[in-house]
Amino acid sequence: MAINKKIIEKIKEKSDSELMKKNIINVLKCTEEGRQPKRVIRNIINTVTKS
Amino acid sequence: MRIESIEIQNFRQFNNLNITFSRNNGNDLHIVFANNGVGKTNLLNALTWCLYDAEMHLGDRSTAVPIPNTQYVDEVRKNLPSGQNKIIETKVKIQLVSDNMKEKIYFDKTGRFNITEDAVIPVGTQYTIMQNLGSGWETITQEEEWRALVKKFVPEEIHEYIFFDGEHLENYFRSQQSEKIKNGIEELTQARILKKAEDAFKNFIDSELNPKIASSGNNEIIKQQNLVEEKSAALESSTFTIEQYNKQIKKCDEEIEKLDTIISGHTNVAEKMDQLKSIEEQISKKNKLIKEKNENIMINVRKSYISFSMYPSIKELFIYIKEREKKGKLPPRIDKFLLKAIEENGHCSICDQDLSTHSVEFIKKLREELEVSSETSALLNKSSIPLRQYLSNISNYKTNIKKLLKELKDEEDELENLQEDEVKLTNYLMNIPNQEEIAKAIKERKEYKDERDKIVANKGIEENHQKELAKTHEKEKEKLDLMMQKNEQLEVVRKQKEYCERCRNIIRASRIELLEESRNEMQEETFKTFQQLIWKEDAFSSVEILDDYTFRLLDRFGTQTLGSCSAAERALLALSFTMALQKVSMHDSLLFIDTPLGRVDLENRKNFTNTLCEISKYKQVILTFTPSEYDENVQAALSGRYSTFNTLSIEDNYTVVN
Repeated sequence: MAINKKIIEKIKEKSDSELMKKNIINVLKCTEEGRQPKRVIRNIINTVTKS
Repeated sequence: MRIESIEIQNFRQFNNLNITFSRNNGNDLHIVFANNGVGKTNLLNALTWCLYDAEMHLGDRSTAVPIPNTQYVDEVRKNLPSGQNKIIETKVKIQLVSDNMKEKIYFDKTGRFNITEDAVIPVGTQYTIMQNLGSGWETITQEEEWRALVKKFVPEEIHEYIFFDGEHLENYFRSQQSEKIKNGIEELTQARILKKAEDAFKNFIDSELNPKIASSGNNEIIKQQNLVEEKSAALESSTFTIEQYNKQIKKCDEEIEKLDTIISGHTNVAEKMDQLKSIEEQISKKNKLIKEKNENIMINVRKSYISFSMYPSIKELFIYIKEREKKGKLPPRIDKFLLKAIEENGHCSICDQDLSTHSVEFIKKLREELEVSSETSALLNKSSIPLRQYLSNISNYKTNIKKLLKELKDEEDELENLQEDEVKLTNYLMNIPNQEEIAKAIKERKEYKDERDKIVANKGIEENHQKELAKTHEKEKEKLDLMMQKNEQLEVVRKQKEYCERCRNIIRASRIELLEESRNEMQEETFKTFQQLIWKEDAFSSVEILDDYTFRLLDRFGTQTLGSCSAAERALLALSFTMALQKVSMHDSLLFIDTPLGRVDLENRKNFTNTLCEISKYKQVILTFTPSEYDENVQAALSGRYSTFNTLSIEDNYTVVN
């Protein structure tokens, strides 16, 4: 099941940047697939901090 | 998504059964017709066993026989050498196809069972899942992958919105269902995914970032961090308390609603019962009082009877005394004590002169003579007082007895009025069935109402407390943030935490918005569908799904009417809700309804059947019917409107399709 378009719209509307939107959706996809998103979050914040 | 075909081998009543649900006309409607016990519900069980690994429509799982067909098991056992066993297989194969026909999925589940002389033991299952996206069939070997396919097309979490039985439809909105409705909405709108992601960010902060702050070595920051965590824990605890209060309020509401169905239309029964009780007590007291008054009158009469019998002689004596007294014929009343004193002193205290011996002797003689006459006179005089009283009492008898009789009459009149009221109330209550149950329900309702009011008040206090906690928490967090900004070593962690919190807040805000919007859309969509399907015009005004997912169907006066709807209307509303849920969540599925008309009254069966036909124009609908459901009206309503019709019957102890 793909992430609902409505959810993507809402995340897009509220996110501070395109990157933030992508990051959140990645976490959502990971959760939706039943995987633990810890590693994804770690990667995200490391990238964000470096940039 | 629709079911294209189902193939069942050696599963309960079925030995080898194939049904294809091809769409042949405007209605994607499919009928499975069978007597009771032939296997209609087990068709549903075969589907859920294959897709979700569970028979979700069994009457009682604990007492159900093993899955393999018992006839087949018996045949295997007959041919089994003593002490030997044999492995047999049960198979269910389902082919699903997407609405646009571009995607096909084939599920093949095989259950293996070890047959011994006295047991059927499951020994394993095997799945073969294939997918066809237009370029031929491909086998999916990874369990994770095919589980995702099931989740995509027929998610287990919402199986209740796809596979129904008649009873389920009727009880769809009964109490304790709101939790299921909430689950359905949260699952289909993907709000659960949002919640999980939200929690994942929080867990990351708690497990990865906060420990970095705690090990920074800066005591002030650590102290502040602990304070923030403390406030955060208090906030969570407060949220939990409020949730508990909400649950308790909901529980009270459910109980009140249940009691309301008993009380409905008899709200003053308890009051009337109390009135009757009070009147009965008053009657009892009044009877006692009347008895006492009667006794009092009798005592008076008895007393007076004695008085009356003595009256002539008493009156004669009294008159005699009075006459004698009047005529001065009663001896004079001389004070003998004075005479004695004069005699003893020899001095007259009246004329203050000393007496001669002769005079003293005279007084002595006089005193002795007076002794007898004076005593009689005194006695007569003394008797005259009670005699007068006695005569007075007799003359007052009439007035007294009249007064007592008047009092008695008043009491008797009051008793009569009370008895009339008692008869009226008793008649009123006798015409109400189960009056004791109603009175008990009213009492219990009041208790629940009082309890609810208390909880609401406590919840209000807790909510205020929570607001204060949230303010303090925010303030302490800002302080920590400032402290960390000044600390270069923690600058990276601060930024990471800030980012995670920002993401978490975005997800949370999106989730809350999504649920709120979905709930509103669900309300409108359910009512819109319901209005299109219902055969009664203007009877209902709207559907409401409250914050706690309690479902309300309002009539044209704005009154909740769900409890008094007919079974058919309730089932129709459940279908409308299911379709609205599928539409709002954009998750379109078929509807498989086992015995949809079982609880629908004869009058509404035709309407309900027509409705199902309408739904089947844009969605696959599979219905199973018993002969009693499939009456002339239903047959007429369905005539020429279904794509397939399969009759199941039993041949040689196996269910077959005719």
